[in-house]
Amino acid sequence: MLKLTNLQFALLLLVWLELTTFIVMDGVDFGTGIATIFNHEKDYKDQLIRSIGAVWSGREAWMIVGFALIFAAFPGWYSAIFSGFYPVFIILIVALTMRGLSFEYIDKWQHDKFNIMWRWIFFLGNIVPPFIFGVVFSLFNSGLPIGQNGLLAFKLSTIFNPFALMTGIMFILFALQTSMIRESAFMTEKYQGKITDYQKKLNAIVPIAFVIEIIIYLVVGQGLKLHPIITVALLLLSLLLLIAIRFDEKFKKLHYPMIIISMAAFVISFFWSIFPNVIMSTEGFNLNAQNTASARESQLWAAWLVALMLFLIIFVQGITHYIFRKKYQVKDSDINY
Amino acid sequence: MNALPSLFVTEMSRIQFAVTVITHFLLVATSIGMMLVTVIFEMMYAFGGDKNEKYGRLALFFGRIFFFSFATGVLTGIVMELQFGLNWSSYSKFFGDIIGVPLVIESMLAFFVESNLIGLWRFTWGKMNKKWHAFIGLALLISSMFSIVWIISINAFMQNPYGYHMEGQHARLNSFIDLFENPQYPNEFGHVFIGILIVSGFVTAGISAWQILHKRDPEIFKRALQIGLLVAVPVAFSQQLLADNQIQATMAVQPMKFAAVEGQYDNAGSKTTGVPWYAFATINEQKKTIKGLAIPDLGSYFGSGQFTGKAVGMKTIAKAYHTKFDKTVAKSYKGHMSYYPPVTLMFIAMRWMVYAGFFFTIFGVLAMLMMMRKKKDIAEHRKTLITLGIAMCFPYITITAGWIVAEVGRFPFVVYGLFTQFDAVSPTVTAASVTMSLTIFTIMDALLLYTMVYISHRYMKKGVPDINGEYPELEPHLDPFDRRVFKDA
Repeated sequence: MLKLTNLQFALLLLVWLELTTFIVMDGVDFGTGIATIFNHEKDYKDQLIRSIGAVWSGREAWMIVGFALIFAAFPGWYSAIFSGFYPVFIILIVALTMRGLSFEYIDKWQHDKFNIMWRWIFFLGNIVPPFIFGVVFSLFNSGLPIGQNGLLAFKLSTIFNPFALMTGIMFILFALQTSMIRESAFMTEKYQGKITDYQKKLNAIVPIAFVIEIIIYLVVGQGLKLHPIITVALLLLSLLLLIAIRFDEKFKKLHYPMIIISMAAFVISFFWSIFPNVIMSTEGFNLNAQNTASARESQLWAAWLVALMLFLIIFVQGITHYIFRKKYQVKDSDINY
Repeated sequence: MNALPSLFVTEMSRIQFAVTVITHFLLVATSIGMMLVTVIFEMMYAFGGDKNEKYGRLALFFGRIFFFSFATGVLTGIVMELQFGLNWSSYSKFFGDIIGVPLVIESMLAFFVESNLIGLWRFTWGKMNKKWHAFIGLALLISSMFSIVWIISINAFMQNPYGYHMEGQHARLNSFIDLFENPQYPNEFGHVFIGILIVSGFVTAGISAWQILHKRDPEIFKRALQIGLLVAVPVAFSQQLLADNQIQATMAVQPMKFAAVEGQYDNAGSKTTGVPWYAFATINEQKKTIKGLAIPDLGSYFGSGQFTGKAVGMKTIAKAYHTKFDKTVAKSYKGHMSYYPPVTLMFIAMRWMVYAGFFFTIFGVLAMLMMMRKKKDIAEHRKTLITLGIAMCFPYITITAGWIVAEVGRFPFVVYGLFTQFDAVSPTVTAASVTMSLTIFTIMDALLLYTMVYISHRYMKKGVPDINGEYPELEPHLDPFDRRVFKDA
């Protein structure tokens, strides 16, 4: 097997962690945003938005950091992802942009037309990104044609395969379930019943969908060939936790960490099961952590600076989350959402 | 086989980059500028006595505009980061070692920290010790400003490659420190930073002047006007020195850019005579001639400080570039390369910068004198207030002009003298998809800017909020695409 240098290994690990953290943490926000469509009462929607209002931008920054680290440490990977998935990422950018703006502009208008428009923009902006990330990560795993220049060369129709679509849907479902479990700590009494209701429905749907996903994953994904034990272990862990949440009534407080671990195990399995490759190929050579890496000097700087700053940002994000850990009933001040 | 390669994707990618980066930078400058004055006001509120409540209200007022521009700015920033890979993947593969490192630091230290702090700052107003709250604001400001440090280091490398070595198909970094030892770096950093301060000051002053004109809390906004001018005017003077340094640096590393902004096609000047400086001119890019009103010898003064000296024209430089680069760096153009940047555009952008620089200092000082008059209150100087209000958009045009001179003037290189635009563009991106993305981004950016300006203006009309961030009374307001909006305007 390919022998990575310590630096390459450490940076690959950091990239995995950052992208997984992004999908999990921002997934919660995406799910909350999707859930705004379930009920049209203004108060319900306001409470949902306010529960993530102070933290969503910091969580989304994990994506930026993850991609920037890929750029610095694995430029070959970076250029392959974005030029290969060009139209997909254009849609992602538009979705993320409109979503971010709708936090500011939702319900700021006099005409209901505009309020309804922004509400739909908010919903679409939240449902599209997790789906796209699901599609992209699963295609890394199942393989894409890679040209001689190390860039992806595939038809867009490749995206519409069952593995990619199912993973996209799975990411959305995970996001929804995680957010609904979290929201029970944030919503007022009035909507607790509704939230429990949504939780019950999701508890029933998600494990079943996940079993289907696992079957496709093991057949189409390349994990089973490369790292059978890790792939199966991660997916099983994820599934078991989902089932535990489904049937457990006693330890409700544990549901939130459980679903987070379950989602994280699922997301990281896409990267881990193809280690040390980063994008599998159906034609040509695989892109791996060695042939896409930057030179030692750049990696050294990137690794040290990122590792040192990781403490700073975890500290800052920790403080923010600590302050907003509970129901944070902001007075209806005009400077907030 | 000697046909001209299709430059369509390259040109479209360039336009797309220009559109997105200009939009992004307008918002970045606004965000940092508004945050700067917000922090100044909040510091005065938090550390001043009870009489300083008005500064707290001002902090909320400008903070509100900051929120809108920050949200929009961060989101256009996502486009910027991903665009290196989207449209310029060959470039990011070739130079990823060098530009990736500052970019990852920027995303962690600036982007990440400020995204977290903004939520903290915004949602804890009035719920926290106000001194601590002011320090969160300060941290937010500093982390936003730190972006400039890293981004300019990337740009300085692209203007003047320094501290790298080649290794096969990749440029490798010698040391991260080298990026900051680039002789191009300190000038460029200072020039951009001060440019942002000028935006900050003039926009604050302009908004305040507008509010005074419309009699919305004039007493409070007089203080804001004063502080806005105090931020902008002193640095506007130093900007001229920095600009001159910048010209000198450009002369040394990118003679073509310097000749283009001066519209200098032919060699001119000698040891005893000087080079004319065109105040206004029309340029014929086909025939390569320039006609206009010229001030004798001034052209030599800019950049060297002496009224005599020799200047090399574009024709000579282009010839030298052809022999130097045609067979090496620019070989993928198959000999069809033209090294002339769009001279007219560069010339106009440069003139605008020069005249705007003079305007900021002269008019800024005048406005300050008006404020100091005891006989007549500033609220009665209607013309000064109107000019201040209109002058609000000048710094924006100026930073855009600066971007045009610096980046369009680099034509046809992405990394000067090393890597051309045609080589940098993504080989897999098709004409159709780049056309689609350019259309989408242009529409999106136009809507973003319009909505941002519109909604900020609406909050301006509400006047200063009270110290809890609430507005005295909510007037009915219109939506941005309502027919009545256009009727009023």
